[in-house]
Parts: sequence; C-alpha cells; structure tokens
Amino acid sequence: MKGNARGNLPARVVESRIVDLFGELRMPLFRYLVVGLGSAEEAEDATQECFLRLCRHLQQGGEVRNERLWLFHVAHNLLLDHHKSGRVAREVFPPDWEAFAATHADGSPDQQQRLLARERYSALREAWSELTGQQREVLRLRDEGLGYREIAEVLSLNVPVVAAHIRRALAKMKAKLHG
Amino acid sequence: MDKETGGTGRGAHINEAQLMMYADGELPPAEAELLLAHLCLCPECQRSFDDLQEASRAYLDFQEQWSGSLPPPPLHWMDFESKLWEILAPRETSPEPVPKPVPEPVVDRRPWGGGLLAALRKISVALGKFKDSAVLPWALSGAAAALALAFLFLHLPAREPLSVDQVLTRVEQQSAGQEAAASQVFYQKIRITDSAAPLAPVIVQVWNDPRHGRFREEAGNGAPADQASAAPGRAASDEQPGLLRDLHAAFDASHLLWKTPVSGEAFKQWTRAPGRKEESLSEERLSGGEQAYRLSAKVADASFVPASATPFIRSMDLLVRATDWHIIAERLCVTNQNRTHTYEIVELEYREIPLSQLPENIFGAQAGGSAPVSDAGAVMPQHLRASSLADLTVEALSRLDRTDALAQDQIAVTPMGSEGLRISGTVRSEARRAEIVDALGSLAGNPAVKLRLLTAAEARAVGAAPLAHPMQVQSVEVLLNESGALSEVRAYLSAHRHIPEHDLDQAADRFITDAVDHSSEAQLHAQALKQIAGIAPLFDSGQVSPATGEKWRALVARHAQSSRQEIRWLEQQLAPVFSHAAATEPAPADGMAGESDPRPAASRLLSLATDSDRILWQVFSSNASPADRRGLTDARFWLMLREEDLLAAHLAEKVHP
Repeated sequence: MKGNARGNLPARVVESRIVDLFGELRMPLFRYLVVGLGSAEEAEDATQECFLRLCRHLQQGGEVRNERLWLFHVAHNLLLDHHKSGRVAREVFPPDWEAFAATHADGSPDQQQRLLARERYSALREAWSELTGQQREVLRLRDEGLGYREIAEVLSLNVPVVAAHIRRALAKMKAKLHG
Repeated sequence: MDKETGGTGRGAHINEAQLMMYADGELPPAEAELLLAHLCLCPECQRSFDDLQEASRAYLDFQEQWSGSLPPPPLHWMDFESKLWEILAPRETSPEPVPKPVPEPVVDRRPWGGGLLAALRKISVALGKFKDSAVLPWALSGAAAALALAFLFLHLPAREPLSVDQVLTRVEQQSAGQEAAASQVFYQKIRITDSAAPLAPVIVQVWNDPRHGRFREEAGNGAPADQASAAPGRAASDEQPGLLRDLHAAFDASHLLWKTPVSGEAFKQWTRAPGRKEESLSEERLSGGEQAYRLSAKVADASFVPASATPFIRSMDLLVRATDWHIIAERLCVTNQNRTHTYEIVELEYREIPLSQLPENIFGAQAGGSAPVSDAGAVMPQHLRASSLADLTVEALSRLDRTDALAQDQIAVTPMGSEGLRISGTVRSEARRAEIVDALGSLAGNPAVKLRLLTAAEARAVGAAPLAHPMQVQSVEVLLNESGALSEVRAYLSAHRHIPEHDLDQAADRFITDAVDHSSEAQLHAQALKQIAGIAPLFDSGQVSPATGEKWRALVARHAQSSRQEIRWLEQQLAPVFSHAAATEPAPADGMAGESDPRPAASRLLSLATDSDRILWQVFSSNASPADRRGLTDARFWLMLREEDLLAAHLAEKVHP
C-alpha cells in the first residue's frame, strides 16, 4: 500500500486495509506464533498485537512496502522478546500419540501401519525439539509459504543462510528418522 | 552429507544450500536449469538431492500432521475490534448523548469475522458522515465514542442495516473458509428455469475441486434426482441443453466465469465491470422463517447495451441466507437477440464431499489423486471469440501476477486460439501450486483454461523438466562467501563506508548477495515482461475491452518499472565499487522508438538481463578466471545496463495494446 509520508492516512483507509489484512493473514500469523509461544491464548494476543502495531504505524503515516513481511517481522520480534523474557515455551504438539491418533481416527485401519506411523511421528517430533530456535523459525515461515528471500527479510538473514538453515534442519529431521 | 564442511571437491559439486534452494524452487530458472544439467551427470549430487527431497517430504508429512491439531484461537478474535477501534477512534466526536448499545442486525454464527467486519464498516460509514458535517470536536474515550457513532449511524435516514458489499464480503469469507478448509469437493445441484419456458427446467450438477483446479458440470432435464456421489455419465458435452448454452454464452460475453454459476464472485465481477449498475439490498424471509438478503443489481444506463447481437446481462439478483451466508438462488435477466429471458436458478442441494468419498472418474482422471490437471472438457464452448480469449488471458496473467508467479515461477500462459488458454509450468511445491490455483480462483475451473502445473518433483518424475523459459547461462558454481571480486568489494566498503575490519566479511557477503539478488530480480521481471508482452497479438483483433487493455498495460508497466528499479540499483551500487562511472552515453540505437509492438523490446530486455546477470555471477564466482573478473570494469557491461534501462522505460511508457 502506498504510505503517505506527508500526512496521516484517513482512519477509514487504514481501517479497511487492516481489516482486509486481518482477514487474510491472521491464521498464518497465529500458526507461526502458536508454535513459538506454546500457548494459544498468547498467540492470539500476539497476532492481534501485530495488526495493531501495523495500524498505528500506518496511521502515523509510516510506509510499508510489503505488509505480509512487515507483520511476520513484527511477529518474529515478539517471539524474540518472549524468549528474552525468560519464559519457557510449552509444548504445543499433541501431548501424546494417543490423543493425536484419536483426532485422526479415520486414518489407516492397519495396525502395523499405524505403529509405523506412530514411530515415525515421534522420531520427527523429537528431532524437531532438537532443532535450534532459528532453524525452527525458518521452517515455520517456509510452512506458511514464505519464499527464501522473504524469510531472509523477516529474520534479517541472508538468503544463503536461510537455505543453509533449512538444509540442516531437514537433514537433522531425516537423520533422526533413520537413526 | 554436510558437504560445506567436507573440505574436498568444493568447486566440483553443488553447494548444499544451493541444492536446497533448487529443491524448493528458489533458484532463478537459468541457474535451476544448469543445476539440473549437473545433477543429471553427477551421481553424488543426485544422491544429495534425493536425500534432501526425502527429508523435505518427511518434514512435510510431519508438519501436516501436527498443524492439523494445533489449538484454535481461544477467543476467536473477539476483542480485536475494540482494540483496533481504540487506535483508530479520532479524538474528535459528537456531543450527542449515548442512548444504548445497538444490537447487531444479524447473528453471525461463525466464530469470527462477519460481526467484526460489519461493525467496523458501520462505524466507518458513520465516521465519514461525521467528518463531512464538520461537527465540533469533543473528547470522548474509546468505547463511548464507538457507541456514540453507532448511535449516529442508526439515526442516519433510511440506511440499510448492511450494504451490498458487506453481504458480499461475508459470502466470500464463508466460501473462502470452506475452500481453504480441507481437501474436499463441493457438489452443487441447481435447477435453472427460463421464464419463457417455465415447464422445462434444467437440472445442473457441478463438482468443483478448487484445491486441484478441477471442475465438472453436468446437465440433465429435471428427471428424478440421481445420486450426487454416483459417477456421472460421459455423454453430456454434445447434448448440452440450449438453456445452459445460452447462459454460458451470456457469461462468456460479459467475461464472467461460469464455474459455480451461483456465486458472489460472478456478481461482483459483473457489477464492477464497465457500465454503471444500480445496486440494492433488501431483507427477505425464507419459507422456513430464516432471514435472507436479496442483492440486486441492474444496468442503470440503457444506452450501454452493445449494438452487437451478443447476449447481454441486464440484471442479476442473489438470494443469500443470512444464517450461513450461503447463496441459495439467483435470478438473471439476459437480452439475447432482441429477446429477454429471465432465468431463475435455485440451489437444490449442496454438499461438501471429502476426496476420499469421491467416486473415481468424476473429473475424468484419478479423482482424489494428485493429478493437477483441469479436466473440464465437457463444457468447452464451441469456439472462443478472440476478444474473450484476450480478456481471459490478461485476467490469467494478472491473477498469476498477484502471487508473483510470472516472475517467480516457471509458468507459461499460452493462448491457443479456439482451444482456449493453456497455463502450464513447474512450481516448487504442492503448497506453491495450491497458492497459484488459489490465485487463479475461478479461472482454474474455467472450461476454456487448460491448467497443467507440475511440482518440481513431479516434473522430474515424468522425466522431463519442462522449463517454461529456457535461458542460456554458462556458469552456476557460485559460492558467495568466496567471491572472486571479494577484495574489490571489501576495499570499497572499508574506504567509503567505513566498515570496521571485523565486520567487513559479513558486510561484503551481504553486499554481494544483494547485488546478485537485484540482478536476478531484474532478470525475473524481464522474463515476466516477455511473457506479458508475448500476448500482444491477441489485441490485434481490436475487440478487446478497454478494461482488459488497461489491465495489460498495468502489468507491463509494473514489471517494467520494477526492472528499472533493479537495474538502477545495480548501476548506482556497483559503479563506485568497480571504479566505473555508470555509462552516460546513450545505448546503441535500438530502433524501438516508434515501435508499439512490445515483443522485440521485451525479448531484447530479457536477453540483455540474462547476459548482464551472467557477467555479474561470473565476477562474483569463486572460480572466476581473471578474464571473468574484468566483466564489471568493462564498459560493455555498463552499456548493457543502460540499454536495459532504456528498454524498460520504453516498455513502461510507450507501449499500448
């Protein structure tokens, strides 16, 4: 959207822009945040905070070249703040396989296959928890459909670094699967 | 497999980060092609690549499993509205007393969205009024202000509780939510009655798989309902009832997409199309007592009727059920060759069928499989008129561009005369394909559009990597942190930007990455331009609507301007590093000055951009020979940039369809 450097944007313009963006991006941001924060309540709050910050920024005549990246960047900063504040992220994955299986009851009826799938899942889950914070973030942003260049911008990294993170993270996950 | 630390053979094999970028479709096409060529010859890199692919798939599996079980937002965004309003509420407001809270006119059963939007829009309408009437500023804090405004709103004379746009927004959100929800097919059965022949209704069944861009329509004559889930016969195409054919023609003539005929999108497109429409909204009660809204739009100006004999839509009505914002009926008034028909379309049945329960052959191919092919031949129009093909093509380009697919993905949009439009290419992942199909929206299901998008993995599996834009580049082994021109960059950054020694490596790395980025970016925009410019012959028929011409111009201008920005960046940032003033002398006469056909300029631009990009990569490559390194000190490089800039400027400003 075109920022207006000279004067503040009319509230209506900001409002309709924010409402549109909110409709489009709240769930991607929520998903990104809920993994990092470990709590749906906090993630919902933080998601809203991203949009509110954008709203203030636009209202004060700030320029935003790409709102999606701007929002993800703010979300990333919120995550950093959260981790700096020393609070420990809780686990957001399904507490155990049984609960998970219950929600996916219509999956494979074959006992053997289910067992295999279960082992596979726990291995990957373990590998995930062993990734570095940055590796997880890079993967999560990739999950939300951001390209390398965009991820690099959100996390203030170089594209080759992003590629290297993704490569290492995936390699770790796979090694766990076979080890 | 950590090759970067492996030490040996650095120049011989592909850097793993680059391999990762390739696997994710992140490399520019030129490098991707070279990398692929290397992969075919090098079993070791091939193994690394297969490993990466497998890891990527394993992760995707895992990710899909747990993302499905993430908790939802517990408060359903309920307080966002008030928080947003606290920021946006102006300090000035009314001296009016605050009577009482105003209830929402409609209960929105969805957990989030509609209520909030309606409330926000309402407040903004009231706010607009307010400013116009220049009421004296009064200080009131957040909640009270909102109430006062809401109060004012209710007291505006004769205003509908919702506007046409608001209802449409809700309808769209509802259907977008459904489409995004899961892998399922939307089945709809409708009855169409022509007022001229009320006793011969046509029953149409529609299967729509937005996720895979598949669509099927089948018409019958109102015989007793057949099973929705039963596989339909295959004989429909030739015996399409006249009524349905007429409706298709009417939609076609108005450049509307006949996917789900009863849709908010068609309504919106039509009302936004040239020619003023009068819109209105009224409330109705359905027979079961449920509340509903009727959206009506009709052509305001009778003189807008085209003189030709093409069918012309005069009015369109939608009936929207307020409980779930579902459209349940539509009325169309169409004038065709001096006769006016009123078509009543009523939804008889609507279901969401999980892919797993979908009988095979519904779409003619493996139903429920990953076949990305749109198979909707059953309703292919007899012949596509040239103007509608141009409209369709430009619309497709413009939608693809919204998700940046023209520049970032290897997609070709090929008009094929009476065969319709082919959109084909390779994309990096399933997710990217879904994104693109999403961006194409109703076009993905348009019978005149042949969609064939393969993921990089699928393209490899079928043995061919159909690169839509083959380009020639000679070198791909680039290790950014061992760049050939590193010393020049370091010297420059140290002397002119005063970067301290210990930060120099990182700064230089970033500088080079930026330069390479901007250069690739320029090349990608040039590629998009060539694609967009390539359809110019479609305009020769002279029957293209002004809106389409404008849209096409906008596409050309956007990419041309973006190209220029990138080229300028390169000129400005690189010239001082390599002690070379950006070329000031005019580029060689290009003979394009009076040229209105954009194709030669776009082709030349792409070839120059590819060449200058290659020079840049060579200069920054670790295996750059001394001769390569001279690339940026050679005047020819700067002349190339100059000419690119001129060509892009020409395209941005001079070209008209």
